[in-house]
Amino acid sequence: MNTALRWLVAITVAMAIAACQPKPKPDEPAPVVEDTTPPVVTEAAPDPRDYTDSRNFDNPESLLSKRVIYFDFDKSVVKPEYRPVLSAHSAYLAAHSTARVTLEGHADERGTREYNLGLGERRGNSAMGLMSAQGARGNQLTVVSYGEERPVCRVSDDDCWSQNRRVEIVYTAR
Amino acid sequence: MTENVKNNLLILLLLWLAATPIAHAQLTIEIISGNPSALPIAIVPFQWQDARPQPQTGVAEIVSNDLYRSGLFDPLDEQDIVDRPHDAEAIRFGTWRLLKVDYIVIGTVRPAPDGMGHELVYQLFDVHTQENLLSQVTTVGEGDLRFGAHRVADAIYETLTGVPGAFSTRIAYVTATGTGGDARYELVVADADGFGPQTVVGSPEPLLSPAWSPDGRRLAYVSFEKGNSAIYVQEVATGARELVSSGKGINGAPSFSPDGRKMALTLSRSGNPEIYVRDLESGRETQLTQHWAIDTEPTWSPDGKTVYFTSDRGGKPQIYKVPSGGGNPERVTLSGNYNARASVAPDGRRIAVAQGRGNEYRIAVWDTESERFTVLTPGVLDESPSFAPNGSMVLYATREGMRGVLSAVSADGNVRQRLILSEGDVREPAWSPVIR
Amino acid sequence: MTRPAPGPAPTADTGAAARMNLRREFRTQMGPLGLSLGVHLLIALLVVLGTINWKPFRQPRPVGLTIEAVIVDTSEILEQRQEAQRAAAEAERREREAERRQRELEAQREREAERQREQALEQQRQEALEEQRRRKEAQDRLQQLRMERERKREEERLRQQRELDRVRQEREAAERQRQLEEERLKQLEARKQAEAAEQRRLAAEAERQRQAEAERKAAQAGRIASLEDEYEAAIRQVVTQNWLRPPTAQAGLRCTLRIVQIPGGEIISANIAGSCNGDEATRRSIVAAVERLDALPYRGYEDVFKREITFIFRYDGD
Repeated sequence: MNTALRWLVAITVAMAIAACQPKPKPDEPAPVVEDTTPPVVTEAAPDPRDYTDSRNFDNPESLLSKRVIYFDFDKSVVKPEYRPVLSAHSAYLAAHSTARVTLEGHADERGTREYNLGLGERRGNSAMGLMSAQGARGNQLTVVSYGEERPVCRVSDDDCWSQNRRVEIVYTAR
Repeated sequence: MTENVKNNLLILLLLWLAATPIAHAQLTIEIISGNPSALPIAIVPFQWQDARPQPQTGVAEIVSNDLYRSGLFDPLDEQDIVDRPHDAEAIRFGTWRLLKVDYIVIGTVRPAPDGMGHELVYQLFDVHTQENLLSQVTTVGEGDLRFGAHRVADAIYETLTGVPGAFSTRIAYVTATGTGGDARYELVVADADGFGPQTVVGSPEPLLSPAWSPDGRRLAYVSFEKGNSAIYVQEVATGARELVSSGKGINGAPSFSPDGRKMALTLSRSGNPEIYVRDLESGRETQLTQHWAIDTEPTWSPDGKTVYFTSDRGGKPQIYKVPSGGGNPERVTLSGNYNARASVAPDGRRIAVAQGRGNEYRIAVWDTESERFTVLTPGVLDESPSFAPNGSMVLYATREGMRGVLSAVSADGNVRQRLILSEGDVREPAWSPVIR
Repeated sequence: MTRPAPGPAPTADTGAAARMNLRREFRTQMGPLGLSLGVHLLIALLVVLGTINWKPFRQPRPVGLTIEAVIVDTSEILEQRQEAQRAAAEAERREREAERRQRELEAQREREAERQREQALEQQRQEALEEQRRRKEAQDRLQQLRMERERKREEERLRQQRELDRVRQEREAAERQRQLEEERLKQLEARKQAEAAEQRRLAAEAERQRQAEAERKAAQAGRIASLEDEYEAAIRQVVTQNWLRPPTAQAGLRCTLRIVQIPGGEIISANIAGSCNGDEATRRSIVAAVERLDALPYRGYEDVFKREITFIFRYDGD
């Protein structure tokens, strides 16, 4: 195999990989490509696993940057894949006693509005329960349910509904 | 019934019939079922005796539409009305018999004595007996001609069915326009046929669950304007309002008692949604339910003795009832996977619900006596049923593409009509009581 | 289509002018050409004639020159003679050669002139053809435009015609409809009057017959039983058909309606009697079920006619 051909194959493969990369979902932060240029700040980059470091809120590698969790239809059980997200925020709250969080519960459009208000609250409560058990104090957490009133997506299909069944972790104080 | 029994009965019947003419000089004939049909009626276009220009939509047309929407009447098409009498002497009853109508309405619109409004003079006749069943004058103010037409429809409806009409009532509903920071929610009140919408309250935060007071003067609703749900009661005419509940957790699903002195509501201050009844005078609250389930959407029976509500204590949402003074909840709807948001008919017997099956939601009516459901609407995202104050129709929210719209369906499900409403996503209709 | 030359195509006028110039130039060039051709022909003729006659004269001249010496070597004389002969032949050959060359040149010139003439003619022909083609094209275009305009005008005319026809048809239809309605009304009225008269006649007839046959009835009891069944079935059918049951009628409905009819079948009274668990709309529908009829079946049932009939209206759900 000559060098030119080798280069061609390499470029093609690189392009194919770039094309195959998953489209970022609008609700979840897109995976950020590693920045090759060295940071201008002299300070060292935060350790993404240090959930007490507030800089990690904007660090896509840290779980602290994830502030929405999703639920199954008519369910309020926090799915296992979202438990680490709640743990990370619990750790932050445990370390910062003045930080405050509102857990906003939401439902999809199916079913009646008032029942969905109840469902949204139940989801918020189930997130709150887990966080309390992991060190967040009761006075740091508030649950508000919006039911189906604030959808992030307005199409009547499964994909859209799954994005609307959620709890948003909103910091009112850090 | 087996064939054998049937035959025996037939023989018995024949024997009886054979014996009858000799035994009595009288004949008895059984008429079974007949033809299901609405009442055939002709609303003759009203005579316009006014110097002011005639509005595009005539009084007779509004009356016809109202009666048709109820599903009980089959008004003759205007183009089939070949004879247009305006007074009793001019009616040729034979013609109307041949046109196969049972009833005929004639009338005139003329200026009111004060010169401002209108007088609607109208009469209703039985085509067969030629009897004058109704002869009335309705006076309405300037610009209220539509309202006058609804009053005429009400009177005809009541004369012929024995039940007060509900056409001159009003409806409340919520509209949503824009998204994100531009979102705007409005609580709107309009005529029962959707005309003449007026915004009662607007907010950038969600509004929901409007409920009328029994006198039709106030509206209770839920607003998120403070960041969390809160219940307000507002005077429709003046806009004056009062904060009723804004505690921790959910403050939702307000419903006035039939006497207007109490309000059933949903509060989750205990950690999960429960039904409470609050005395509006004293502010005293009684907790009606106590269960880890979601208990919400309370609504009163017409006699005020029972509160119906939605609960998922059995796993899926169903309608339950509890004595309004407190007691043990009892399940009401016994079939279907998802039944929620009850609206009780004025007869206290029928209960309209939003019924879910898979991803499809329809309006269905539960008959508490026969313990059976009748599905009224085709779906697929129908919700918020609200019975007309006379029980003849159910108003509900449905979807048209991405947009929510309102429709009215006759209580038997035979006639369905979309209401002409303002722009935006329209939801959560509430039918006002009859305003006397 | 290819253009003969780049640049804008010449208009018809400038094309004609160019052709005129060409023709004039041709004529002016043809004069000298003819002259030169004539002169050349003359020279050629002279040369040819000259060469034909010269040959015998020129031969003896070198012979005379050779007899000046008395004593000469014969071989030398022979040689000299041969030499002179060779020279003369050479000169002759050269002259012939020059002549031939001259002729050839002449012919070539002639061919050249001919070719040029032909070329000019060909060009002229081509030009004429091109012109013709261009004119035809222009004409075609004009024709096309004219046809297009004509077509459009025709279309517009047709459209207007259609519109007019439509309006006329509509007007006619409306008029027809009006006449039809009037006619229908008249017919309805007439039919109703005729029916009423017929019924009165029938009623009178029936009454007469009833009286005439009153005595015979008792004797015919057996036959009447089956006729009675038929009578009942006929009535049941017509009343059932005419009962427009409203949606508010509930399953379990029981209503008794009592009617009184006179011979001929005309109903003179219809009342809900006894118990009726129907609502107002249902009750009305029941009374209307018989009132909607002009008359109950009568003809053929005179023998079994009943003045009073009780109907029991039932509905037990669909």
